[in-house]
Amino acid sequence: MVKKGLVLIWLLALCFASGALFWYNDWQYQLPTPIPKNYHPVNTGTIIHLDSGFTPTAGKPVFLHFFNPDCPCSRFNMAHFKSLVRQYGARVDFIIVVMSHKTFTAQVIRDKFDLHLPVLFNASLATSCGVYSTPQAVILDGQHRLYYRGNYNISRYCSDEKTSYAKIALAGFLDNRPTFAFSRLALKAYGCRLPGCGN
Amino acid sequence: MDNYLITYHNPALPLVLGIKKLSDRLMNYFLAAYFVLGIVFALFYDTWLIAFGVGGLSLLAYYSARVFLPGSDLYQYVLSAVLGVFMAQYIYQMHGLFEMHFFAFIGSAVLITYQKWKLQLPMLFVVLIHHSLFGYLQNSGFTNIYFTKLNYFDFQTFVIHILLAAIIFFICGLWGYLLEKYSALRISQTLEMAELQKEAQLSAERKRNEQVLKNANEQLRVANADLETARHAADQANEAKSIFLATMSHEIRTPMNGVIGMAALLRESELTDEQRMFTETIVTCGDALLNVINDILDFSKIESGNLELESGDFNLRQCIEDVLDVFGARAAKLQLDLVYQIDEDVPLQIVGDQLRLRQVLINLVGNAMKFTEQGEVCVGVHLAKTGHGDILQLKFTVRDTGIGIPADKLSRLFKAFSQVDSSTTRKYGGTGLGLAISEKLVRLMGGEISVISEPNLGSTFSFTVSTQTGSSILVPYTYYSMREQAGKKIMIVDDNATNLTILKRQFEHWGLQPVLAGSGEGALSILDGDHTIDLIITDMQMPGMDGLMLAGKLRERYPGIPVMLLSSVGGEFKTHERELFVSVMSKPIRQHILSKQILNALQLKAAVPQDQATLTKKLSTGFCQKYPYDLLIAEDNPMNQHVIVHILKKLGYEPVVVKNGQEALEAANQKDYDLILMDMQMPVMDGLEATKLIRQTLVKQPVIIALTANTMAGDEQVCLEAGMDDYLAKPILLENLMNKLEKWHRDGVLV
Repeated sequence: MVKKGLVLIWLLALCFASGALFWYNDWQYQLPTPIPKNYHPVNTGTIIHLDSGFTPTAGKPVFLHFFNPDCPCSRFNMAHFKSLVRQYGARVDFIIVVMSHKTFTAQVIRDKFDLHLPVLFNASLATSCGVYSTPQAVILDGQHRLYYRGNYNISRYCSDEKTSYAKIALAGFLDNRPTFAFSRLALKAYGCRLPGCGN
Repeated sequence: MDNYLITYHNPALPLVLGIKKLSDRLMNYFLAAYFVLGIVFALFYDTWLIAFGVGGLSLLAYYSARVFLPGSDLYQYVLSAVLGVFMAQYIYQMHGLFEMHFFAFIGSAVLITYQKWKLQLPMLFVVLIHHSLFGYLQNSGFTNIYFTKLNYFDFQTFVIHILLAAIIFFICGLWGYLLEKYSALRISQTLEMAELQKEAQLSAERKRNEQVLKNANEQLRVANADLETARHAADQANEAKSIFLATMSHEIRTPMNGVIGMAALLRESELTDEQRMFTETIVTCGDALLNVINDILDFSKIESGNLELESGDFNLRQCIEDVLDVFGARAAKLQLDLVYQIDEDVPLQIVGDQLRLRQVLINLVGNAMKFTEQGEVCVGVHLAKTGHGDILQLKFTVRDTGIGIPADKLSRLFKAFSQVDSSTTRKYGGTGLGLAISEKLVRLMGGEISVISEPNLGSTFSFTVSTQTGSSILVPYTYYSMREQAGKKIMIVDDNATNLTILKRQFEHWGLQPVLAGSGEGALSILDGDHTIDLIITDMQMPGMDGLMLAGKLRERYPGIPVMLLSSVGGEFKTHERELFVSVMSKPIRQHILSKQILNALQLKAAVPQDQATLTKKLSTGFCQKYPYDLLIAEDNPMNQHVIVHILKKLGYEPVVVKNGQEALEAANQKDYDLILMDMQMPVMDGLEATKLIRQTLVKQPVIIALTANTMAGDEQVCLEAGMDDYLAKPILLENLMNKLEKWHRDGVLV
């Protein structure tokens, strides 16, 4: 009887330990990405010069998807990005900006997304846009002025429509409703640090 | 023993334990797969901490419960909870991928292997608690929990989720429950089947055994029938043998009766010396022939099991003395000493068959005398051993100083028709049946017979008899009290040491003082020194100075001392020689005669009445005056009629003779007879029938004595049951007839 009691106590302890692990992991996910020391914020309205390797369509907004194949958050976000491309691909130029120390070919990246999109490997573009984590969405208007730079969603599961910030921004821009403010949750980056995924 | 008891009470236990063992082994593989799966899922979104941490803790929980409480089912319930946690882990690792919920079904299905519906409950509780808690938290506005798309608790959704989960768990639980039931059912059916098979086997075995038994019974029946047939045949053979013996006994004895009877009558008549010699030869041969016939018939009776021993009280001393009387004359003729000695501790009244004991002793003493040319024959009776109650074993010895028997011939002695030497038959005669019959009679008397012998020194035949002390009141052996003569000195003069010893012991037993002398000269020399001798008993035949010469000398020197003589039968004395002795006793000496004569000699006046003088001739007409009878004789054989009528006429009777039972009945009805001698086997009406009718019809009942040649066991009883009073065996011996006439007259028939 005593032995059974001790075993039950032991099991309870293990149960709490499991719960603690889940809680810790979730807490880790909810921590914002640390801002780099030499970070220069880029204000909205700043003209962003794109890579010479890309020829934008005149007057079409540009959606830059900062993506790191090694970042789990980036990987999880892929489905959501693809849904945005499917929804707004005709009206917006979507570009994938790969942020990684590893060498990938554009085709490899395209295969990952199963989308024929331009792929840029220019890491300075992140600095130009004020991006320091992945995944991050940057929306440029027709004149390539920074309209939105921020998270895709409040939660990493990216399925909450109410907090689907990138989508909201894009939809608002395309609907000519540019003047609404985003909360800290949209603008404070959560995700993997650049250049390597250290989160 | 405990396992047996547990198994006995729960025959499904081995199966249950087997299921548990098998399921546990299966779980090892499943849990390993679950853990690996967690690692695989970790590849997607780098959830390594969750994969190893939560997965490892889950496995730790399961195996620690299993190891620390092996006898308990707790670890199975922990397993159920762990499978639920793994599902939650996968959902978390795959960031809410709904398909991960399928692991609930997988886990639920895996638990069926334990065939316990209750194991579904922990997983259900995990799901319930998880959904309830997270739903509540989210509903409370806790934004950091991802649970559902909705940011509020929808009760309907919750209920549907829980119900669906419950249904899944219920179905799996039901499946497990039914499996268990089916297993138990299968087990009980298997057990029933095993029982039935066992019953069938037992039934088959029983049938086989029944068949075997039936066959055995049949064989037994057949064997019994055969045995019955054999027994019937044996009985018939036995009956035929008995009839043969009875018939032969009758057929032989009837003419023998004529021969011996006529020879006896002839002997009583006036004869010349030559005629007397012829007559004696006929009588002797007749007796010898009768003895041979009796031996043969006895042997046949014993062999066929028809001989039964009598059991009655009799006086042992009288029996021994009767035997010695038979050989007294011969012993005197052969100049052999014939003596006997009975130990003091031997009871003198015993129970047994006096006739057969006498027969054995007569045979042994007869043989001893036959093969002894000089010396003595001594009969001894000793107490061999005592048993419970009055049962005792007596040992009889017959010792002789004869020719002896070689050791290699001893084994053939007791075999029928066997002689020590075939030349013995020519020299000594005999059929070779005597010892064989004696051996069989001794066995019937519960004893054994044996012999020790030294050639030229003599033989000692010994036999034992099981008997008991008699208690019936017998006609007392004549006994004279020597109490008043106690202390008197008696000198015994005899050259035979055995005789001296016997007489010495007898006198000491009577309280007398014996003084022994081995010769006449020795006696005289003792008397010279001892003047207190009260009586002298001397043997006749002694070397040197015989008894007569000694008596003469004693009359001269010691006229006041009475002298008694021990003489052989037949010795004749002149008057002056006879007057030397106060009494002359014949050998072998009977104890009561010795005691009587000693008393007479020691007392001044005769204290004891003299016995009647024995008849010089047996047949005398005075017998009829003493024992008068009206006699009727029923006898069909003319020869036998003649014999018995002559004997009775010699005794002074005038008997009436009839030749069958019918005539006897008519005669008895016409006249009152005192005694009827009734032959058994007669034409028209036999003796038994006639007796029965006489008993039924007559007012004054006569004494009826059966005359019969049948001497089989039971014949006497048949006669008595028919109403007869007594029994006379043929051939009729004169003395027996006279004794019967005397007996029935004395018994008060006529008064």
